[in-house]
Amino acid sequence: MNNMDANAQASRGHWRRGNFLTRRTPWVRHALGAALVGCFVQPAASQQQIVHRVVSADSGWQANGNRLLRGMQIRETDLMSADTAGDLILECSPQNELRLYSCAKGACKKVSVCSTSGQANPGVVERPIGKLMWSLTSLLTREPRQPVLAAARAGGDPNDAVLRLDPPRLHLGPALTRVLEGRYCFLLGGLPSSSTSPATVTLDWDRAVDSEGVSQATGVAPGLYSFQKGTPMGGSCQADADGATAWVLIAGSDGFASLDTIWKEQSAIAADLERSGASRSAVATVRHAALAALAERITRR
Amino acid sequence: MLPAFVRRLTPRQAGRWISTALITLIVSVASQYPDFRGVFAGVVGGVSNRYLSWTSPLGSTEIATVAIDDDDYRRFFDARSPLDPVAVVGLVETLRALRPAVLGVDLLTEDDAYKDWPQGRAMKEAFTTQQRPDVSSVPVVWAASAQSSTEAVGFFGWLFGGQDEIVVIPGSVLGTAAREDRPDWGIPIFPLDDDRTVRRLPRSWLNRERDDIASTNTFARAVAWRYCRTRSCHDHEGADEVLLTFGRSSSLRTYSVRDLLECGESTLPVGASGTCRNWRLKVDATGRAWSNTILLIGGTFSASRDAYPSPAGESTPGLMLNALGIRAEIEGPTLVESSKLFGLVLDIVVGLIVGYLFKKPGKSLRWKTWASLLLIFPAFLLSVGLFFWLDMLWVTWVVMLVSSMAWNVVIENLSHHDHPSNTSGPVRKSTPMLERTTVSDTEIQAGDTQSHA
Repeated sequence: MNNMDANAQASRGHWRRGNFLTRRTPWVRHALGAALVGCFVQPAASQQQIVHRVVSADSGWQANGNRLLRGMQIRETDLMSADTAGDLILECSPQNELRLYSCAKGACKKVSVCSTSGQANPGVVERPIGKLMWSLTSLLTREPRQPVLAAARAGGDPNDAVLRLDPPRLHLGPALTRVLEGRYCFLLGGLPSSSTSPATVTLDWDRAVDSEGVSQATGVAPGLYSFQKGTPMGGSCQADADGATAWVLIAGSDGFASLDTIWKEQSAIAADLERSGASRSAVATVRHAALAALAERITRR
Repeated sequence: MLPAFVRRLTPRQAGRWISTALITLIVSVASQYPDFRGVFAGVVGGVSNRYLSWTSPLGSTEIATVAIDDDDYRRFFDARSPLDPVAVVGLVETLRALRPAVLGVDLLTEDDAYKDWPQGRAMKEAFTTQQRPDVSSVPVVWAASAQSSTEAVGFFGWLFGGQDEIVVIPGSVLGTAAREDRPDWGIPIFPLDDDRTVRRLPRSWLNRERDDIASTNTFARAVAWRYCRTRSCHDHEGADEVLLTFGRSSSLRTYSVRDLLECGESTLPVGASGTCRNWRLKVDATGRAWSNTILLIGGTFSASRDAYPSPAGESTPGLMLNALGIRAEIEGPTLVESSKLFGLVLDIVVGLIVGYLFKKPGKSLRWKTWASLLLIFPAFLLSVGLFFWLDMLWVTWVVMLVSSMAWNVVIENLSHHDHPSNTSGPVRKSTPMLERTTVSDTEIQAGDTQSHA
């Protein structure tokens, strides 16, 4: 039984005895504090995660300097612009409402994404597209078939990384820098090695659609894990026979930013070491030691 | 000046003609719609697969592929991901020493590590400034990474010849951005047909980074262009796409890395696994003549997931598709997108004539069938010869027959409804439709009597 289960059981015991609030145990105070913080933090966190999808975009449209393509995702906080005249259709979450942005003369700047404030964007005609109209239009259009890029990337295994856990969502993207698009499962084994079976998460990896690689990971707690790619086989995960195992440090949203910054600095040093001719196994040892040291910080907290 | 037979038409006959023509047009347009939605994708795909599997170009362009297969991946790259940049760059440099006509690298090298490795920089300088006299005559073309999408055309645009456009944001080569002004790269992009199979290769794509200008930097075309600079090749200007043909050809050779190269003893003991950073050509490799060969290196190891469904099988390596694409760029066959409107007009005209033939009195069913087939066959050849487009191979046949039958049914009903004798009395036998429309009602009666007699 893990700590969370034990806590939950203890909580139920207190509740039955009717002294949930009268007993001022430290964990109750922590839980209350966390709940209060959660009330304020959770809406902000979920708001940050709202992403919208590009249904179609004429050539001039871009967001944060990147040209928009069909299927891309953009965040509510992003700002769009169009340097030439053209239309953009977004599917706005969470209602999945279709919205048309039409830049008539070009040079449309700082266009907000799926804004609900009603604030007008200068030079842009913005209007929702009715479901009926969309249905009729879809009769005369067809779903485009995405082309394939027939080249071998230099590899396909996960890399060592620090991952953000936003329960129950785990952001796998940083560990999948070299992994090709596709449907995968990943085995997360606790480190140091334990007897418990590894947790499994699955992901339809498409960096053009979701560069964060957000996957549902219930029951995964912050900590250090071995990370192995595999193929979903029915209900199980078949690890790649030749796949290399990476190490990932899973950090909660609160501590992720600082840990990630430190990790990037340390992995740059490891990269320098590799360039200077050090063997791969030696470099991997350095990387893993750095991740283990960062994991210690989480444990101390 | 209207033709005489038109001037002789009564208002009722003229109305019948117009309504019939409208219904025929609507039926014909509607019959194109299932094709637009991909209803025939399975049938067309199956027939196309047979055709492409049997066909092979007659040319003799020598193409050889060098594949990093699973064994090579374990033996020379330690089954590690990403592939060691020094090992990859060294491998390319060593193969370049074979002095092939062109060396194509079907490995994506967008990783920043390539930018940082001194060997990578030296190689890039060699490409741009041609500083290495010993190997400078061997052009190397790299596959570039990209983000790609397809912009679909609507039904009416499609009917008038519009096609889906491939839109691309080019990525990088050897860790640096792929720029249009450099010819040493191309994007190995392949569209999927309606049944999600690779059969063709576009000759250009739209560069979203540069206001959707059409770029000709496909990987196959870039390699073919380099190859044809010093040789006489067919000019395929005007062709929109090339077809990948999978028939057996002696001009296509396949090697694994270990067939041509071995690892230098200083880094890897013989038979051991690890990362090879010191490549050496085998005697077998150096003993052959490569000067007329396009050498293509890529990865077929399973971790690369570079395999796609094609007429050759469910998992055709991307390396093979690129080799076939290069061959098609040089030797053909090419595809010119035809207007569906042409197919539509062809359908209507042939449908009319076939309908007329079947209504023609005094001829046996066998005669009518052969006459119809003889008519459809030249129309088929016409569509194939002038506008070679796979969709038209079978869809046209189907639509021709459907529109022909629909046309007959419509005419039959109209004439049946209009004729005074049909309001009461016995059911009247059918009459030749075109004859009936060019003569008066009285003459029809007489004609009927004669023909029945």
